[in-house]
Amino acid sequence: MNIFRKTIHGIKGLLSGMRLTFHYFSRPGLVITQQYPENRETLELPPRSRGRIELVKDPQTGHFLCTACGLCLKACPNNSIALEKTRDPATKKMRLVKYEYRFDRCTLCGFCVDACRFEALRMGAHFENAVYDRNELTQDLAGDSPPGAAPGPAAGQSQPPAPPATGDQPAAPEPPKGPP
Amino acid sequence: MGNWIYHPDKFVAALTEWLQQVLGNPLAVELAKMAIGAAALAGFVSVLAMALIYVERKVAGHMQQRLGPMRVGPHGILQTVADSLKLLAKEEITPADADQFIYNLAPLVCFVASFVSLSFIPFAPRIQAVNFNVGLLFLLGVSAVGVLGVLAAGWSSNNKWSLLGAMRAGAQILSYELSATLALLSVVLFAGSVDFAQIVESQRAGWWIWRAPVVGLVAFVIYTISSTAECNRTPFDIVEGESELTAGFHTEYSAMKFAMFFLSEFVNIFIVCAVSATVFLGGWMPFHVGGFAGLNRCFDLLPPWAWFFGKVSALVFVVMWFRWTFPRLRVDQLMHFEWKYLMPLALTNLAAGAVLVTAGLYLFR
Repeated sequence: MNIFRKTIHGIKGLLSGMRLTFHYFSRPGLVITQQYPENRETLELPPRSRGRIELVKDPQTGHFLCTACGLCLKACPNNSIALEKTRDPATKKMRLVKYEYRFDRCTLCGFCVDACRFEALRMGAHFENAVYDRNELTQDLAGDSPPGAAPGPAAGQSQPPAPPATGDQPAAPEPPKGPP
Repeated sequence: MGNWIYHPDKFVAALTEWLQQVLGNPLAVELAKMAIGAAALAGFVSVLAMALIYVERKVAGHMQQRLGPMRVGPHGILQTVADSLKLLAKEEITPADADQFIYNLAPLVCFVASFVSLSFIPFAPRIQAVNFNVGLLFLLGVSAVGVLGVLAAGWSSNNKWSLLGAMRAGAQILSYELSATLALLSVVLFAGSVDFAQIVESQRAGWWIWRAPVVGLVAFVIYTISSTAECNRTPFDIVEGESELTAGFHTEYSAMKFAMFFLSEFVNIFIVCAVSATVFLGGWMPFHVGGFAGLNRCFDLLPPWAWFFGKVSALVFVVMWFRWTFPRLRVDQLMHFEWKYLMPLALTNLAAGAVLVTAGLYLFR
């Protein structure tokens, strides 16, 4: 009897598989392939796609949410992020001057986004990254914030772990996820 | 012209008459008819293989939420044409240590086997390249020659993966040939003939898949399974098993020699589906229900060859559906399934069929 039960079980499994593939086959609307160069204007990337990173602006104030804490910099396994910051003389808070992002070193691993505690960083949707000179891949992401004083420091220069500027945050930052 | 659509044999008769007028000599007429028939079949085979490859890729794509080929021509319909041109232009490589003669012969053996098999299939009433009174038997024999080509290819390539693939092919095709033949035999018992034309003619009252109670259906299922295995299609594609054997027996082949294997593979799919349609589903015979003359006349509006190709296309689609759904079997599971379950079942089915035929217990006699 066991053999019959197993046979019926097996046939059921095969049929349910065939039903699934026919479901996809009979509904061309479910196709997820993008006809990329043709639909460049209307291209919609999946929400979790990873392009180069972007700084997020506060929709109300129009300022960057970044507090220049440097967690992303520490999380980065490739040293592709460098920060330059000043202390605001009025509020005594850290302020971002320059966010240097070296896309030529970035592997789009997303550790910086995971490490950010203020949701000030996200993986962007921009993926057409070809340039003629690799120097163009080094960019200041905080470009439209008030200009900083000096040219950016060499990437890889270590930063002291700046505590988060907001007082209600715990003092010790969580250790960022290490590279695997 | 309309007459020719419904009665393609009248076209053949007209052609013969014209040839007689032009050539006069009966021997020359026969030779010309053979040449035309062979050329027509060759053209049909190449177009068929290209169309099947395109359809396969489209079906595969849509079953996996992809689109398949889209670039060459509208919806990629010229993709296989481009691929064939590419294959024609590529270099024919023969490995240094290969057995040159057998290596070059093997793709031809495969191709000729499937090409010859195709000539026995009746596409419409009296449209059959070779009208042979033991057509089914001969087709089974000739199609088994194809495995010789596969074995020769694997052996002569001098490559362990090719050889392993060829050995698997030999074991698998020979095993499943048994069940396929037994399944066909049980219908041959009912039809009382191994001539394809007469097998189709015997289904005028109804198709054997349901006219032979249960036995027909079981035989059809067995034949579908074992013919899938004979074509080396997933879930029985351990012969090619990309993840295990690179590409199996045709690993070392390139350009047109590779294309020949591909061609014969797709023509084989068509052949097994055509045999299945002819033997179980009435071939070119339209679907008729006894007593409903009006309905039957409606079904007759489709010409017989359209019925034939419709049935074959449906079966080909099912085979493709299998391929893009099922996982591959292991070698031992494959042998287990054939020798312990499928073949005993086919034998039992044949015995039951024999009893039913002797007792006259089948429908619409």
